[in-house]
Amino acid sequence: MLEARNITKTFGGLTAVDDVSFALADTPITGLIGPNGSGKSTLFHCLSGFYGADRGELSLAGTPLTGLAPHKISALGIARTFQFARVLPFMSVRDNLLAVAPGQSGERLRSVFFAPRAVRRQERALQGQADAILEFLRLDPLSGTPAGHLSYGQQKLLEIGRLLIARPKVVLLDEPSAGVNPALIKQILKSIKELSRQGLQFFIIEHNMSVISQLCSRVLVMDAGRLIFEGSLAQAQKSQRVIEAYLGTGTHAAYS
Amino acid sequence: MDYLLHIAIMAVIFMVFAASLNLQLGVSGLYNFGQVAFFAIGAYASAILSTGGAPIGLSMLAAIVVAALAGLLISVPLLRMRGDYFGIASLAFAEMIRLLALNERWATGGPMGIPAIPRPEWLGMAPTSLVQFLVIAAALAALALAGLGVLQRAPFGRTLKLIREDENVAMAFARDVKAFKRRAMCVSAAAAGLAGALWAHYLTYISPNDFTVQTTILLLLCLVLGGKGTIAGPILGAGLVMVIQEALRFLPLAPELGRLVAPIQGIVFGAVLVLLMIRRPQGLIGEMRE
Repeated sequence: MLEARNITKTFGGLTAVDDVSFALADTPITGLIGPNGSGKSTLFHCLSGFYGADRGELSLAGTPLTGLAPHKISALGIARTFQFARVLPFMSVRDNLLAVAPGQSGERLRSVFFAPRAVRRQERALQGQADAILEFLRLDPLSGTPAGHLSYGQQKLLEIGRLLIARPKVVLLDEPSAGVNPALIKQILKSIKELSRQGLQFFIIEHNMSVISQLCSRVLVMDAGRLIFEGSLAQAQKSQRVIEAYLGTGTHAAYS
Repeated sequence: MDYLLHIAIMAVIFMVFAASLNLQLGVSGLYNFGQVAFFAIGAYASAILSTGGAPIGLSMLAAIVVAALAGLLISVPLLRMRGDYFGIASLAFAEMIRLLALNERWATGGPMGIPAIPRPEWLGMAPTSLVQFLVIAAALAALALAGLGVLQRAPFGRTLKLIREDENVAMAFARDVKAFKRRAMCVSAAAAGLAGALWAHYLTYISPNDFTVQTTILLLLCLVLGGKGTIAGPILGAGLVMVIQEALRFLPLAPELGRLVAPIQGIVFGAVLVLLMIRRPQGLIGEMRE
Protein backbone atom coordinates (compact mmCIF):
# COMPACT_ATOMS: atom_id res chain seq x y z
CA MET A 1 0.00 0.00 0.00
CA LEU A 2 2.65 2.50 1.12
CA GLU A 3 5.14 2.96 -1.66
CA ALA A 4 8.34 5.01 -1.72
CA ARG A 5 10.43 5.62 -4.80
CA ASN A 6 13.98 7.03 -4.83
CA ILE A 7 13.59 8.89 -1.52
CA THR A 8 16.69 10.99 -0.86
CA LYS A 9 17.35 13.36 2.04
CA THR A 10 20.57 15.25 2.56
CA PHE A 11 21.72 17.51 5.38
CA GLY A 12 24.51 19.67 4.02
CA GLY A 13 27.12 17.20 2.80
CA LEU A 14 25.57 14.21 4.54
CA THR A 15 23.19 11.99 2.64
CA ALA A 16 21.06 10.55 5.43
CA VAL A 17 18.68 8.70 3.14
CA ASP A 18 20.11 7.74 -0.21
CA ASP A 19 17.82 6.76 -3.06
CA VAL A 20 15.59 4.42 -1.04
CA SER A 21 12.76 2.62 -2.83
CA PHE A 22 10.42 0.05 -1.35
CA ALA A 23 6.77 -0.93 -1.12
CA LEU A 24 5.09 -2.31 1.97
CA ALA A 25 2.75 -4.28 -0.35
CA ASP A 26 0.48 -6.42 1.80
CA THR A 27 2.96 -7.55 4.43
CA PRO A 28 1.11 -6.97 7.72
CA ILE A 29 4.20 -6.06 9.75
CA THR A 30 7.45 -5.00 8.13
CA GLY A 31 10.59 -4.37 10.14
CA LEU A 32 13.21 -1.72 9.42
CA ILE A 33 16.58 -2.50 10.92
CA GLY A 34 20.11 -1.27 10.56
CA PRO A 35 22.98 0.05 12.65
CA ASN A 36 22.66 3.38 14.49
CA GLY A 37 22.87 6.33 12.14
CA SER A 38 21.89 4.33 9.09
CA GLY A 39 18.98 6.67 8.32
CA LYS A 40 15.98 4.74 9.64
CA SER A 41 14.45 7.55 11.66
CA THR A 42 15.18 10.05 8.91
CA LEU A 43 13.34 7.78 6.49
CA PHE A 44 10.36 7.75 8.91
CA HIS A 45 10.44 11.53 9.06
CA CYS A 46 10.35 11.61 5.26
CA LEU A 47 7.47 9.13 5.09
CA SER A 48 5.41 11.13 7.59
CA GLY A 49 6.17 14.51 6.04
CA PHE A 50 8.13 15.88 9.00
CA TYR A 51 11.10 16.18 6.65
CA GLY A 52 10.51 17.13 3.05
CA ALA A 53 12.52 14.67 0.96
CA ASP A 54 14.93 16.28 -1.49
CA ARG A 55 14.04 13.79 -4.14
CA GLY A 56 11.69 10.88 -4.66
CA GLU A 57 8.01 10.07 -4.54
CA LEU A 58 5.67 8.73 -1.94
CA SER A 59 2.21 7.26 -2.31
CA LEU A 60 -0.39 5.46 -0.23
CA ALA A 61 -2.65 3.08 -2.19
CA GLY A 62 -2.02 5.13 -5.32
CA THR A 63 -2.65 8.52 -3.67
CA PRO A 64 0.46 10.68 -4.07
CA LEU A 65 1.84 12.00 -0.77
CA THR A 66 4.97 13.68 -2.05
CA GLY A 67 5.53 17.11 -0.53
CA LEU A 68 2.42 17.08 1.66
CA ALA A 69 2.49 18.61 5.16
CA PRO A 70 2.57 16.12 8.07
CA HIS A 71 -1.03 16.74 9.11
CA LYS A 72 -2.24 16.04 5.58
CA ILE A 73 -0.27 12.82 5.31
CA SER A 74 -1.66 11.80 8.67
CA ALA A 75 -5.19 12.63 7.55
CA LEU A 76 -4.72 10.26 4.62
CA GLY A 77 -4.06 7.38 6.99
CA ILE A 78 -0.42 7.28 8.07
CA ALA A 79 0.13 7.58 11.81
CA ARG A 80 3.47 7.51 13.56
CA THR A 81 5.10 7.36 16.95
CA PHE A 82 8.37 9.01 17.86
CA GLN A 83 11.60 7.45 19.02
CA PHE A 84 10.90 8.54 22.60
CA ALA A 85 7.42 8.29 24.06
CA ARG A 86 5.60 11.57 23.59
CA VAL A 87 2.44 11.54 25.63
CA LEU A 88 0.92 14.76 26.90
CA PRO A 89 2.08 14.69 30.53
CA PHE A 90 -0.42 17.20 31.91
CA MET A 91 -3.49 15.60 30.37
CA SER A 92 -5.24 12.60 31.85
CA VAL A 93 -4.57 9.24 30.23
CA ARG A 94 -8.07 9.22 28.80
CA ASP A 95 -7.77 12.76 27.44
CA ASN A 96 -4.54 11.72 25.75
CA LEU A 97 -6.63 9.38 23.64
CA LEU A 98 -9.58 11.74 23.13
CA ALA A 99 -7.30 14.59 22.04
CA VAL A 100 -6.07 12.69 18.98
CA ALA A 101 -9.38 11.10 17.93
CA PRO A 102 -10.02 11.93 14.28
CA GLY A 103 -12.86 13.89 12.75
CA GLN A 104 -14.24 15.59 15.86
CA SER A 105 -16.98 18.07 14.99
CA GLY A 106 -16.29 19.82 18.30
CA GLU A 107 -13.01 21.07 16.91
CA ARG A 108 -14.91 23.38 14.58
CA LEU A 109 -15.99 26.68 16.11
CA ARG A 110 -19.32 26.64 14.33
CA SER A 111 -20.31 23.21 15.61
CA VAL A 112 -19.33 24.08 19.18
CA PHE A 113 -21.83 26.92 19.24
CA PHE A 114 -24.50 25.85 16.78
CA ALA A 115 -24.55 22.05 17.03
CA PRO A 116 -23.67 21.40 20.67
CA ARG A 117 -25.88 18.30 20.84
CA ALA A 118 -24.07 16.58 18.00
CA VAL A 119 -20.75 17.51 19.58
CA ARG A 120 -21.79 16.04 22.92
CA ARG A 121 -23.10 12.87 21.31
CA GLN A 122 -19.84 12.35 19.46
CA GLU A 123 -17.86 13.09 22.60
CA ARG A 124 -19.78 10.41 24.53
CA ALA A 125 -19.15 7.87 21.77
CA LEU A 126 -15.44 8.72 21.78
CA GLN A 127 -15.28 8.39 25.56
CA GLY A 128 -16.76 4.92 25.23
CA GLN A 129 -14.16 4.05 22.62
CA ALA A 130 -11.35 5.45 24.75
CA ASP A 131 -12.46 3.46 27.79
CA ALA A 132 -12.62 0.25 25.73
CA ILE A 133 -9.10 0.88 24.40
CA LEU A 134 -7.74 1.56 27.88
CA GLU A 135 -9.30 -1.67 29.07
CA PHE A 136 -7.75 -3.59 26.18
CA LEU A 137 -4.34 -2.12 27.06
CA ARG A 138 -5.00 -2.71 30.77
CA LEU A 139 -4.50 0.98 31.43
CA ASP A 140 -8.10 1.45 32.60
CA PRO A 141 -7.24 1.85 36.30
CA LEU A 142 -5.07 4.82 35.31
CA SER A 143 -7.70 6.50 33.14
CA GLY A 144 -7.86 9.72 35.17
CA THR A 145 -4.15 9.95 36.05
CA PRO A 146 -2.00 12.59 34.35
CA ALA A 147 -0.08 10.74 31.65
CA GLY A 148 3.17 12.13 33.03
CA HIS A 149 2.74 9.87 36.06
CA LEU A 150 2.88 6.69 33.96
CA SER A 151 6.03 4.61 33.71
CA TYR A 152 7.93 4.92 30.45
CA GLY A 153 6.62 1.57 29.25
CA GLN A 154 3.05 2.52 30.08
CA GLN A 155 3.53 5.74 28.13
CA LYS A 156 4.64 3.69 25.12
CA LEU A 157 1.54 1.57 25.57
CA LEU A 158 -0.58 4.72 25.70
CA GLU A 159 0.99 5.77 22.41
CA ILE A 160 -0.32 2.56 20.92
CA GLY A 161 -3.71 3.41 22.39
CA ARG A 162 -3.57 6.71 20.49
CA LEU A 163 -3.02 4.78 17.28
CA LEU A 164 -6.05 2.66 18.12
CA ILE A 165 -8.38 5.61 18.44
CA ALA A 166 -6.92 7.37 15.40
CA ARG A 167 -7.59 4.30 13.19
CA PRO A 168 -4.94 4.90 10.54
CA LYS A 169 -4.20 2.54 7.66
CA VAL A 170 -0.45 2.40 8.13
CA VAL A 171 1.44 2.89 11.35
CA LEU A 172 5.10 3.86 11.56
CA LEU A 173 6.47 2.74 14.93
CA ASP A 174 9.86 4.08 15.94
CA GLU A 175 11.43 1.65 18.44
CA PRO A 176 8.34 0.52 20.34
CA SER A 177 10.30 -1.63 22.79
CA ALA A 178 13.24 0.68 23.55
CA GLY A 179 13.55 1.39 27.26
CA VAL A 180 10.57 -0.77 28.19
CA ASN A 181 10.66 -3.59 30.74
CA PRO A 182 10.09 -7.16 29.48
CA ALA A 183 6.58 -7.54 30.95
CA LEU A 184 5.37 -4.41 29.18
CA ILE A 185 7.18 -5.39 25.97
CA LYS A 186 5.01 -8.49 25.97
CA GLN A 187 1.90 -6.35 26.40
CA ILE A 188 3.03 -4.03 23.59
CA LEU A 189 3.72 -6.97 21.26
CA LYS A 190 0.33 -8.45 22.02
CA SER A 191 -1.34 -5.14 21.19
CA ILE A 192 0.56 -4.78 17.93
CA LYS A 193 -0.39 -8.31 16.87
CA GLU A 194 -4.03 -7.71 17.74
CA LEU A 195 -4.09 -4.46 15.77
CA SER A 196 -2.42 -6.18 12.88
CA ARG A 197 -5.16 -8.81 12.87
CA GLN A 198 -7.68 -5.97 12.69
CA GLY A 199 -6.08 -4.85 9.43
CA LEU A 200 -3.65 -2.15 10.50
CA GLN A 201 -0.39 -2.31 8.63
CA PHE A 202 2.82 -1.73 10.59
CA PHE A 203 6.28 -0.52 9.63
CA ILE A 204 8.55 -0.85 12.65
CA ILE A 205 12.02 0.42 13.44
CA GLU A 206 13.45 -1.84 16.11
CA HIS A 207 16.83 -2.84 17.48
CA ASN A 208 15.50 -5.70 19.55
CA MET A 209 15.85 -8.68 17.19
CA SER A 210 13.63 -10.90 19.32
CA VAL A 211 10.83 -8.36 18.86
CA ILE A 212 11.50 -8.27 15.12
CA SER A 213 11.53 -12.05 14.86
CA GLN A 214 8.24 -12.34 16.74
CA LEU A 215 6.45 -9.72 14.66
CA CYS A 216 7.86 -9.27 11.22
CA SER A 217 7.53 -11.60 8.29
CA ARG A 218 9.71 -9.29 6.27
CA VAL A 219 12.54 -6.90 7.09
CA LEU A 220 14.27 -4.06 5.28
CA VAL A 221 17.86 -3.35 6.24
CA MET A 222 19.47 0.06 5.90
CA ASP A 223 23.11 0.99 6.11
CA ALA A 224 24.64 4.42 5.58
CA GLY A 225 21.41 5.76 4.11
CA ARG A 226 20.94 2.99 1.58
CA LEU A 227 18.55 0.09 1.54
CA ILE A 228 20.82 -2.96 1.41
CA PHE A 229 18.48 -5.87 1.96
CA GLU A 230 14.85 -6.98 1.68
CA GLY A 231 13.57 -10.36 2.83
CA SER A 232 12.96 -12.49 5.89
CA LEU A 233 14.93 -11.94 9.08
CA ALA A 234 16.48 -15.41 8.76
CA GLN A 235 17.77 -14.54 5.29
CA ALA A 236 19.00 -11.18 6.54
CA GLN A 237 21.01 -12.83 9.27
CA LYS A 238 22.79 -14.91 6.64
CA SER A 239 23.36 -12.05 4.22
CA GLN A 240 27.02 -11.14 3.90
CA ARG A 241 26.09 -7.52 3.16
CA VAL A 242 23.98 -7.21 6.34
CA ILE A 243 26.62 -8.82 8.54
CA GLU A 244 29.17 -6.38 7.15
CA ALA A 245 26.85 -3.46 7.90
CA TYR A 246 26.57 -4.43 11.54
CA LEU A 247 30.03 -5.80 12.20
CA GLY A 248 32.18 -4.05 9.61
CA THR A 249 34.61 -5.75 7.27
CA GLY A 250 38.16 -6.92 7.81
CA THR A 251 39.50 -4.84 4.97
CA HIS A 252 38.06 -2.01 2.98
CA ALA A 253 38.66 -4.01 -0.13
CA ALA A 254 35.80 -6.30 0.89
CA TYR A 255 33.36 -3.53 0.02
CA SER A 256 34.12 -3.61 -3.69
CA MET B 1 -20.50 53.71 46.42
CA ASP B 2 -19.63 55.07 43.03
CA TYR B 3 -16.08 54.13 43.73
CA LEU B 4 -16.97 50.50 44.36
CA LEU B 5 -19.00 50.49 41.16
CA HIS B 6 -15.97 51.87 39.36
CA ILE B 7 -13.80 49.03 40.66
CA ALA B 8 -16.43 46.49 39.68
CA ILE B 9 -16.65 47.84 36.14
CA MET B 10 -12.88 47.87 35.69
CA ALA B 11 -12.71 44.33 37.06
CA VAL B 12 -15.39 43.09 34.66
CA ILE B 13 -13.59 44.64 31.69
CA PHE B 14 -10.26 43.13 32.72
CA MET B 15 -11.88 39.73 33.24
CA VAL B 16 -12.83 39.62 29.57
CA PHE B 17 -9.44 41.00 28.58
CA ALA B 18 -7.56 38.44 30.70
CA ALA B 19 -9.75 35.56 29.52
CA SER B 20 -9.08 36.61 25.92
CA LEU B 21 -5.32 36.38 26.43
CA ASN B 22 -5.78 33.10 28.28
CA LEU B 23 -7.06 31.41 25.13
CA GLN B 24 -3.69 32.12 23.52
CA LEU B 25 -1.21 32.16 26.35
CA GLY B 26 -2.84 29.66 28.68
CA VAL B 27 -4.61 27.23 26.40
CA SER B 28 -2.65 27.36 23.13
CA GLY B 29 0.80 28.17 24.50
CA LEU B 30 1.04 31.25 22.28
CA TYR B 31 3.03 33.77 24.31
CA ASN B 32 1.37 36.85 22.94
CA PHE B 33 2.80 39.92 24.67
CA GLY B 34 0.88 42.27 22.39
CA GLN B 35 -2.69 41.48 23.34
CA VAL B 36 -3.14 45.14 24.30
CA ALA B 37 -3.08 45.90 20.55
CA PHE B 38 -6.45 44.19 20.05
CA PHE B 39 -7.77 45.98 23.13
CA ALA B 40 -6.62 49.28 21.60
CA ILE B 41 -8.08 48.43 18.20
CA GLY B 42 -11.44 47.64 19.79
CA ALA B 43 -11.35 50.82 21.87
CA TYR B 44 -10.43 53.07 18.95
CA ALA B 45 -12.83 51.44 16.51
CA SER B 46 -15.79 51.84 18.84
CA ALA B 47 -14.72 55.36 19.90
CA ILE B 48 -14.24 56.61 16.35
CA LEU B 49 -17.53 55.17 15.11
CA SER B 50 -19.65 56.28 18.06
CA THR B 51 -18.21 59.81 18.20
CA GLY B 52 -18.86 59.91 14.47
CA GLY B 53 -22.54 59.33 15.14
CA ALA B 54 -22.99 55.57 14.83
CA PRO B 55 -25.16 53.86 17.46
CA ILE B 56 -23.10 52.53 20.37
CA GLY B 57 -24.27 48.94 19.96
CA LEU B 58 -23.26 48.93 16.33
CA SER B 59 -19.93 50.58 17.14
CA MET B 60 -19.12 47.90 19.69
CA LEU B 61 -20.10 45.14 17.31
CA ALA B 62 -17.87 46.71 14.66
CA ALA B 63 -15.06 46.94 17.22
CA ILE B 64 -15.28 43.20 17.80
CA VAL B 65 -15.25 42.45 14.09
CA VAL B 66 -12.36 44.83 13.38
CA ALA B 67 -10.33 43.35 16.24
CA ALA B 68 -11.01 39.82 15.00
CA LEU B 69 -9.91 40.81 11.49
CA ALA B 70 -6.78 42.39 12.93
CA GLY B 71 -6.13 39.12 14.75
CA LEU B 72 -6.54 37.20 11.54
CA LEU B 73 -4.23 39.54 9.62
CA ILE B 74 -1.46 39.68 12.19
CA SER B 75 -1.60 35.92 12.71
CA VAL B 76 -0.20 35.45 9.21
CA PRO B 77 3.27 36.90 9.91
CA LEU B 78 3.26 36.07 13.64
CA LEU B 79 2.51 32.38 13.20
CA ARG B 80 5.53 32.01 10.96
CA MET B 81 7.46 32.33 14.19
CA ARG B 82 7.53 30.15 17.28
CA GLY B 83 8.19 30.51 20.98
CA ASP B 84 10.27 33.53 21.98
CA TYR B 85 10.28 34.93 18.48
CA PHE B 86 6.50 34.93 18.42
CA GLY B 87 6.48 36.76 21.77
CA ILE B 88 8.90 39.47 20.67
CA ALA B 89 7.10 40.00 17.37
CA SER B 90 3.76 40.33 19.16
CA LEU B 91 5.27 42.92 21.50
CA ALA B 92 6.47 44.87 18.47
CA PHE B 93 3.05 44.61 16.89
CA ALA B 94 1.43 46.19 19.96
CA GLU B 95 3.92 49.06 19.86
CA MET B 96 3.19 49.57 16.16
CA ILE B 97 -0.52 49.88 16.89
CA ARG B 98 0.16 52.37 19.69
CA LEU B 99 2.45 54.46 17.46
CA LEU B 100 -0.14 54.33 14.72
CA ALA B 101 -2.71 55.76 17.15
CA LEU B 102 -0.18 58.39 18.23
CA ASN B 103 0.56 59.56 14.71
CA GLU B 104 -2.62 59.21 12.68
CA ARG B 105 -4.20 62.35 14.09
CA TRP B 106 -6.95 62.51 11.48
CA ALA B 107 -8.50 59.35 12.88
CA THR B 108 -7.30 58.98 16.45
CA GLY B 109 -6.63 62.53 17.57
CA GLY B 110 -2.96 61.64 18.04
CA PRO B 111 -1.60 62.25 21.55
CA MET B 112 -4.74 64.26 22.41
CA GLY B 113 -6.79 61.07 22.16
CA ILE B 114 -10.52 60.89 21.62
CA PRO B 115 -12.68 62.71 24.18
CA ALA B 116 -16.43 62.65 24.74
CA ILE B 117 -17.01 59.03 23.80
CA PRO B 118 -20.72 58.41 24.52
CA ARG B 119 -21.93 55.95 27.14
CA PRO B 120 -24.82 53.59 26.39
CA GLU B 121 -28.24 54.44 27.85
CA TRP B 122 -29.85 51.14 26.97
CA LEU B 123 -31.60 50.71 30.30
CA GLY B 124 -33.21 54.14 30.12
CA MET B 125 -31.04 55.64 32.86
CA ALA B 126 -28.83 58.71 32.54
CA PRO B 127 -25.53 58.06 30.77
CA THR B 128 -23.72 58.95 33.98
CA SER B 129 -25.34 56.06 35.87
CA LEU B 130 -22.62 53.64 36.86
CA VAL B 131 -25.16 50.98 37.82
CA GLN B 132 -26.46 51.02 34.29
CA PHE B 133 -22.98 50.69 32.82
CA LEU B 134 -22.06 47.90 35.23
CA VAL B 135 -25.17 45.91 34.29
CA ILE B 136 -24.49 46.30 30.57
CA ALA B 137 -20.78 45.53 30.93
CA ALA B 138 -21.43 42.54 33.16
CA ALA B 139 -24.02 41.12 30.77
CA LEU B 140 -21.72 41.45 27.75
CA ALA B 141 -18.77 40.13 29.76
CA ALA B 142 -20.76 37.13 30.97
CA LEU B 143 -21.64 36.32 27.37
CA ALA B 144 -18.03 36.60 26.24
CA LEU B 145 -16.67 34.62 29.20
CA ALA B 146 -19.26 31.90 28.69
CA GLY B 147 -18.35 31.69 25.01
CA LEU B 148 -14.64 31.42 25.79
CA GLY B 149 -15.35 28.85 28.51
CA VAL B 150 -17.42 26.69 26.17
CA LEU B 151 -14.65 26.77 23.56
CA GLN B 152 -12.07 25.82 26.15
CA ARG B 153 -14.06 22.82 27.35
CA ALA B 154 -14.99 21.70 23.85
CA PRO B 155 -12.76 19.42 21.77
CA PHE B 156 -11.52 22.67 20.19
CA GLY B 157 -9.88 23.66 23.47
CA ARG B 158 -8.52 20.16 23.97
CA THR B 159 -6.86 20.29 20.57
CA LEU B 160 -5.33 23.68 21.42
CA LYS B 161 -3.88 22.09 24.56
CA LEU B 162 -2.60 19.17 22.51
CA ILE B 163 -0.81 21.70 20.30
CA ARG B 164 0.49 23.56 23.33
CA GLU B 165 1.94 20.37 24.80
CA ASP B 166 3.42 18.87 21.64
CA GLU B 167 3.03 20.32 18.16
CA ASN B 168 4.66 17.32 16.53
CA VAL B 169 2.18 14.89 18.04
CA ALA B 170 -0.65 17.19 16.95
CA MET B 171 0.69 17.13 13.38
CA ALA B 172 1.22 13.38 13.47
CA PHE B 173 -2.48 13.08 14.30
CA ALA B 174 -3.72 15.16 11.40
CA ARG B 175 -4.12 18.51 13.17
CA ASP B 176 -3.41 21.60 11.09
CA VAL B 177 -1.47 23.36 13.83
CA LYS B 178 -1.35 26.78 12.16
CA ALA B 179 -5.05 26.79 11.37
CA PHE B 180 -5.94 26.05 15.00
CA LYS B 181 -3.60 28.74 16.29
CA ARG B 182 -5.03 31.22 13.78
CA ARG B 183 -8.56 30.50 14.98
CA ALA B 184 -7.49 30.88 18.61
CA MET B 185 -5.88 34.25 17.85
CA CYS B 186 -8.94 35.42 15.96
CA VAL B 187 -11.41 34.54 18.73
CA SER B 188 -9.06 35.92 21.37
CA ALA B 189 -8.65 39.20 19.46
CA ALA B 190 -12.42 39.53 19.14
CA ALA B 191 -12.88 39.18 22.91
CA ALA B 192 -10.07 41.67 23.58
CA GLY B 193 -11.78 44.03 21.12
CA LEU B 194 -14.99 43.82 23.14
CA ALA B 195 -13.06 44.57 26.35
CA GLY B 196 -11.41 47.56 24.65
CA ALA B 197 -14.73 48.90 23.41
CA LEU B 198 -16.25 48.63 26.91
CA TRP B 199 -13.23 50.40 28.31
CA ALA B 200 -13.55 53.27 25.82
CA HIS B 201 -17.25 53.77 26.46
CA TYR B 202 -16.75 53.60 30.19
CA LEU B 203 -13.87 56.06 30.51
CA THR B 204 -15.30 58.23 27.69
CA TYR B 205 -11.75 59.27 26.86
CA ILE B 206 -8.92 57.25 25.36
CA SER B 207 -5.39 58.15 24.30
CA PRO B 208 -2.38 56.14 23.13
CA ASN B 209 -1.03 56.30 26.69
CA ASP B 210 -3.64 53.78 27.79
CA PHE B 211 -2.20 51.07 25.57
CA THR B 212 1.43 50.78 26.55
CA VAL B 213 3.42 47.76 27.65
CA GLN B 214 2.32 48.71 31.17
CA THR B 215 -1.19 47.48 30.42
CA THR B 216 0.21 44.26 28.95
CA ILE B 217 2.13 43.59 32.15
CA LEU B 218 -0.93 44.23 34.30
CA LEU B 219 -2.84 41.80 32.10
CA LEU B 220 -0.16 39.14 32.38
CA LEU B 221 -0.28 39.53 36.14
CA CYS B 222 -4.05 38.89 36.12
CA LEU B 223 -3.51 35.71 34.16
CA VAL B 224 -0.52 34.36 36.04
CA LEU B 225 -2.03 35.16 39.44
CA GLY B 226 -5.37 33.52 38.69
CA GLY B 227 -3.99 30.49 36.88
CA LYS B 228 -3.48 30.32 33.15
CA GLY B 229 -5.06 27.56 31.11
CA THR B 230 -8.08 27.36 33.40
CA ILE B 231 -11.49 28.93 32.86
CA ALA B 232 -11.92 30.54 36.28
CA GLY B 233 -8.27 31.59 36.66
CA PRO B 234 -8.28 34.77 34.56
CA ILE B 235 -11.61 35.84 36.09
CA LEU B 236 -10.31 35.46 39.63
CA GLY B 237 -6.96 37.01 38.71
CA ALA B 238 -8.44 40.07 37.04
CA GLY B 239 -10.78 40.65 39.98
CA LEU B 240 -7.97 40.41 42.52
CA VAL B 241 -5.55 42.60 40.58
CA MET B 242 -8.15 45.34 40.16
CA VAL B 243 -9.06 45.25 43.85
CA ILE B 244 -5.40 45.31 44.94
CA GLN B 245 -4.66 48.13 42.54
CA GLU B 246 -7.45 50.28 43.92
CA ALA B 247 -6.87 49.31 47.56
CA LEU B 248 -3.31 50.62 47.31
CA ARG B 249 -4.70 54.08 46.67
CA PHE B 250 -5.86 54.18 50.29
CA LEU B 251 -2.44 53.72 51.82
CA PRO B 252 -2.09 56.21 54.66
CA LEU B 253 0.38 58.42 52.85
CA ALA B 254 0.95 62.09 53.46
CA PRO B 255 -0.69 64.14 50.67
CA GLU B 256 2.68 65.27 49.33
CA LEU B 257 3.62 61.62 48.84
CA GLY B 258 0.54 60.93 46.72
CA ARG B 259 2.70 60.69 43.63
CA LEU B 260 4.21 57.51 45.08
CA VAL B 261 1.00 55.51 44.68
CA ALA B 262 1.75 54.40 41.13
CA PRO B 263 5.32 53.24 41.89
CA ILE B 264 4.07 51.43 44.99
CA GLN B 265 1.52 49.59 42.86
CA GLY B 266 4.36 48.54 40.60
CA ILE B 267 6.45 47.32 43.53
CA VAL B 268 3.58 45.36 45.05
CA PHE B 269 2.67 43.71 41.76
CA GLY B 270 6.30 42.87 41.15
CA ALA B 271 6.56 41.31 44.59
CA VAL B 272 3.35 39.34 44.00
CA LEU B 273 4.79 37.98 40.74
CA VAL B 274 8.06 36.92 42.39
CA LEU B 275 6.24 35.29 45.28
CA LEU B 276 3.92 33.52 42.87
CA MET B 277 6.77 32.12 40.80
CA ILE B 278 8.41 30.74 43.94
CA ARG B 279 5.38 29.45 45.84
CA ARG B 280 2.72 28.69 43.26
CA PRO B 281 3.87 29.00 39.64
CA GLN B 282 0.64 27.47 38.32
CA GLY B 283 -1.41 30.36 39.77
CA LEU B 284 -4.12 30.30 42.43
CA ILE B 285 -6.25 27.93 40.38
CA GLY B 286 -3.95 25.31 38.90
CA GLU B 287 -4.62 23.31 35.79
CA MET B 288 -4.13 19.59 36.33
CA ARG B 289 -0.39 19.38 36.69
CA GLU B 290 2.13 16.76 37.61
